Amino acid sequence: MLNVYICEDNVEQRNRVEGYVNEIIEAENLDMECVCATEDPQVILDCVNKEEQEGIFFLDIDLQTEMNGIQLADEIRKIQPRCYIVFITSHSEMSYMTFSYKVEAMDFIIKDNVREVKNRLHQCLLNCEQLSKQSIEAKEKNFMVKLGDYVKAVPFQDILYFEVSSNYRKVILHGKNAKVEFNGKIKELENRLDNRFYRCHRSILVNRDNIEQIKPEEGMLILKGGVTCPMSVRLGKGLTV
Amino acid sequence: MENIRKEFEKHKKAIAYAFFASEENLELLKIQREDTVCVLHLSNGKKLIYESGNMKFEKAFQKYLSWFNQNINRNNKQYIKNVLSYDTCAFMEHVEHENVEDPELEKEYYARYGSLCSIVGSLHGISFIEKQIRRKRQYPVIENISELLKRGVKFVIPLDERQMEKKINKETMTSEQRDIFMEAYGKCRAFIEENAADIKILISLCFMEGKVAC
Repeated sequence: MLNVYICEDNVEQRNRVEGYVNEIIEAENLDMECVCATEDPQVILDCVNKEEQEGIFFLDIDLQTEMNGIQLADEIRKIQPRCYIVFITSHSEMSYMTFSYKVEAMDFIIKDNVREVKNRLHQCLLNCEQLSKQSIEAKEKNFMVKLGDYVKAVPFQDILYFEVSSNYRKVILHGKNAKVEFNGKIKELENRLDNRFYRCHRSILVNRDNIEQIKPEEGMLILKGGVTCPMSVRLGKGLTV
Repeated sequence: MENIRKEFEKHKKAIAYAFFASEENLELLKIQREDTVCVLHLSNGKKLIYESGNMKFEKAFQKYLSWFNQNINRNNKQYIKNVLSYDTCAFMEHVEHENVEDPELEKEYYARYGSLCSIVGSLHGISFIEKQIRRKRQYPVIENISELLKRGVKFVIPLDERQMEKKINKETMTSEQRDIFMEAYGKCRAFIEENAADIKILISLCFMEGKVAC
């Protein structure tokens, strides 16, 4: 369950955001609950201090208190480093954007267009749920492959890359010690797995943890154990930023 | 097709909430295949675009446009499409082509069109986007942004005015329309050039969720 917190000094806007959040949770049947909607940043911090579960925070920037939304975000991050922060603001100035970037905000929503606010809140809540699921999966140590009537567990650290098979709707898992072919699509794997896995080629999903060298001019990656795999020029750029 | 129906049924309640203010008894009547997407015909007479991916470029681009709406051309905003994106599929509002005769709206359209070309150009996108534009009254709306950004997203200063002028299809614009287009293009390009550092951060926030620096 993810807890949702809202900090907004304007009561009308606070109620509106809370209303949207509750409607979206209901429409999407999300495993979330709006546990606190307040104008006081200290109330948010008190709640966060009591709660171990990571949360989603919708914060106004100008809170008309000593602490503004950006300072509040900073404080929240110290307690919950992996939480999700979204700024809802009437300011679109670039300085706020820079701050959003520094506190790794998931989004910054400008209040003036009701239709857009609703849509962006909706998308933020969906993103949080997806990321939360991914982080739960990341904590799991094994990738489970269904092979006929049994399931094989392959430790994530042993996976070098996944490759689209020439057989219809099959994917090949290239591991350090084994190679297995199973039913699946590379796109589905890309969406399901966490950020360790990167689509470096149309047909390849590589485990970043096992990359030893990147050779863009040769369109190739060298992985642990000297194994090579292809990389496209365009998609490979994401590995070198 | 069966898969699309299943996804629609699974997300029906959320679709009704996001696109049609919680209309009840929404049904999927027909699925029409197009090049890379499907058009869903619904029982309320409306249409939606369906894609079997998460439309991450579309989502990011709508965010990017929204920021430009706030910071430049506040009176000449770009149209923001509603997107509902899940892990394995996404739904987007279907924009109907709608021409308009009003000369004032006509001018607005070409001004927005000029800005839009500049904005797409700043993402290393294809600079003149005539074939990808659907006209919704005074708004130019891009049909498929992934197609325009297929070279990958990175910040670049859009083409200068002279280069852009060469790319314009002179047969489809009158000289007056071209002047309006070019004026808006130049204004938006100058804004992008002036605010390059911030726009790089914006690209990072929109397209990479703030995690990776450009």
